[in-house]
Amino acid sequence: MSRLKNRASNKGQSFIEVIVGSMLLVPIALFGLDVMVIVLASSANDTLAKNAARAAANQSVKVLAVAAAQKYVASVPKSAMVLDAKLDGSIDYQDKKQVEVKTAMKVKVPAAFAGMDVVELRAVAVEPIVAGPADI
Amino acid sequence: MGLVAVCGLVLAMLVTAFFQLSMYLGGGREMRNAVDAGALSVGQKVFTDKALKVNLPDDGPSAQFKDVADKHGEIGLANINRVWGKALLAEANAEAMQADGQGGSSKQHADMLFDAAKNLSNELTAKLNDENNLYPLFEEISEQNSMRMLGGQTKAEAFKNAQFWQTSLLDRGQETNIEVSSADVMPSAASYDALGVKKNRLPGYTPIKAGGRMFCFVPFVENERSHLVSRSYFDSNTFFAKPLLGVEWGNPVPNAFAVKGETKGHAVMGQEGMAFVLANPQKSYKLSMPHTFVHVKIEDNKLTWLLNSPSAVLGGHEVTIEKEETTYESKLIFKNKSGSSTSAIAGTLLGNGVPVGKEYTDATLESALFASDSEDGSREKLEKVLVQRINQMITEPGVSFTTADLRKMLKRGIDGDGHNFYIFSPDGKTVEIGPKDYAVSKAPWLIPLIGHDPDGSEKEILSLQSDFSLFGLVQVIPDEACSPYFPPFGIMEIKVKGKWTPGSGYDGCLGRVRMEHTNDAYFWGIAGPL
Repeated sequence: MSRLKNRASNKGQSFIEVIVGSMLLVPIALFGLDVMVIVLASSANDTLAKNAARAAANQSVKVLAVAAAQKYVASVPKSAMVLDAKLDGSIDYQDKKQVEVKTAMKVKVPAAFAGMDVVELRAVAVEPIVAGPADI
Repeated sequence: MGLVAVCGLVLAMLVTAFFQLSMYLGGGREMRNAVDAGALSVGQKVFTDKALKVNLPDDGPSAQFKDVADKHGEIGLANINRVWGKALLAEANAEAMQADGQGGSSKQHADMLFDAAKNLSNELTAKLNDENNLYPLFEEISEQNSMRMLGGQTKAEAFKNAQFWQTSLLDRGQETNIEVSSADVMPSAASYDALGVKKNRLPGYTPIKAGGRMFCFVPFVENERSHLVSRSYFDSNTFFAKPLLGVEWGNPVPNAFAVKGETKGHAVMGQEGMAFVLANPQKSYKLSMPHTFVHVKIEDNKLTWLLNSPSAVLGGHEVTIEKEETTYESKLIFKNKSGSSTSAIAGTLLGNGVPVGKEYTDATLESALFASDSEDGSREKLEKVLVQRINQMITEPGVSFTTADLRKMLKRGIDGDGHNFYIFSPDGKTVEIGPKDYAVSKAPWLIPLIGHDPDGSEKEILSLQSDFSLFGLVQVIPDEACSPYFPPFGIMEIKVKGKWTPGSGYDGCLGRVRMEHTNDAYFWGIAGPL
């Protein structure tokens, strides 16, 4: 009789432990997944900013530079996770010197926490302008 | 519960570790981006940064290169080829002058220019190889790039160690930024062939021989920009890995640069990265000697009246020759000439309405130089040397000067002092001729140069001769009781000589053509007693 009682109380304890453990481990795991997605997306956004800046730096006038950067950013494929990618404001084009491009990328994380299901990432890249003859 | 706690802790640690690793790897990517951007910055600013330019002195042979300097009066990577180009033309000119027996002091001057070009080139190479000059160019861009994955205060700076900031000589044998669109710019076909022209441009990192000296230009491929290259390509073409053979001074100007960056201010571990950039100024020039001129000198036209010349004994009488020299203007004029009586001419020998200066078909420089087309080809010979020298003045790529252009230019009237004219290019595209005041007003750079003489020796290059009868224009008016012994007659002899003194281009003078026009009017007539 006491063995039966022990078994019943052990099963109950294990069940509670699984519930409590899950309540602890699952969020951590999901959080880790979100972190992984955000880090990868951030890296992708950095690359996007760099390539957009390179495209702009290959133009000799600001108008063409803006168009080149916008064209590049617009070519980025969207997905279930990458909702949007765009230039963050106007590019800073200093004639014959450098161009600064800022990009913004909206990423939907797999596991939303506290209503934070879409994260906006920002990146900035500065490239020297290589278009046009040397100013000598 | 303890197991759950341990698992939770392990999972949290794994997540944290993964996060840190991702940040570190992401930081590595940021570092590469920053280093690449810094390398491109070096590849662009290497042409404009003041620390990488060479100043020209105000005098001495190096000052001869002021006309190929940039807008700041300096020599840098973008225009060092112009320096070498000018020195090459001087040596080629001197070599051709020596072969024609008109060398003068041209070889000495050309060698002075070569040595000056070498000194400028060596000074530039030293600056380009000094990594301290490149660090600021790198950091100007690299530090502006985000490195937040390695810490909010992290920046990409130059890794200050000369071992990682090497230079290289890339695109060997490819074209340079010096255009040679026509063989007319060179004084001979052989000197043009020696250039090894590639795609209408001089080849780079290829020894070119002129005047016994070896020249070496820096390649900058047309329509390319400064861009990154692979490490293997860079390393295999450094001067030490693959020396340039045949270049006498062994210190060629590099066109590619290695850079290395490192993170500073990082939170935990830092990153390093290298990149290699091939520079290109995207600026082309023509093989030329910009601030140069050709002097055209028209001597006084000499008119000689020769009465009864050469001397003779006519009718038993010794004929006295009379001779008078004067000058005439460069246009058609008519003169009356009277001869005084002698024992052999009892009367007056008169030339009535003798046309003088008839070789001037019009009062233009073309008439002064060429008078008429020559049958012996001497006109073409003079035209050829003038066209060749004029093409050395032109700096605009794609522009050439032809014989037709020369003939059109010489339609200019003879003005100014009527004697001294200067052929020059005020803008590197057009060519003009005019007297001194006109020339210096259009090209003020001529002021210190215009008095310079060419450094070769003079030789006749053009000789035209013609004559025509003065039938009906010569009279003998006999004294009383005298009569002419024979019908008087006359002949006008015209001689046009062109003397060419070539110049290597040193001190600005590419040559001088000196024209001598002479009209010799011969009258014969004798009168005596009936």
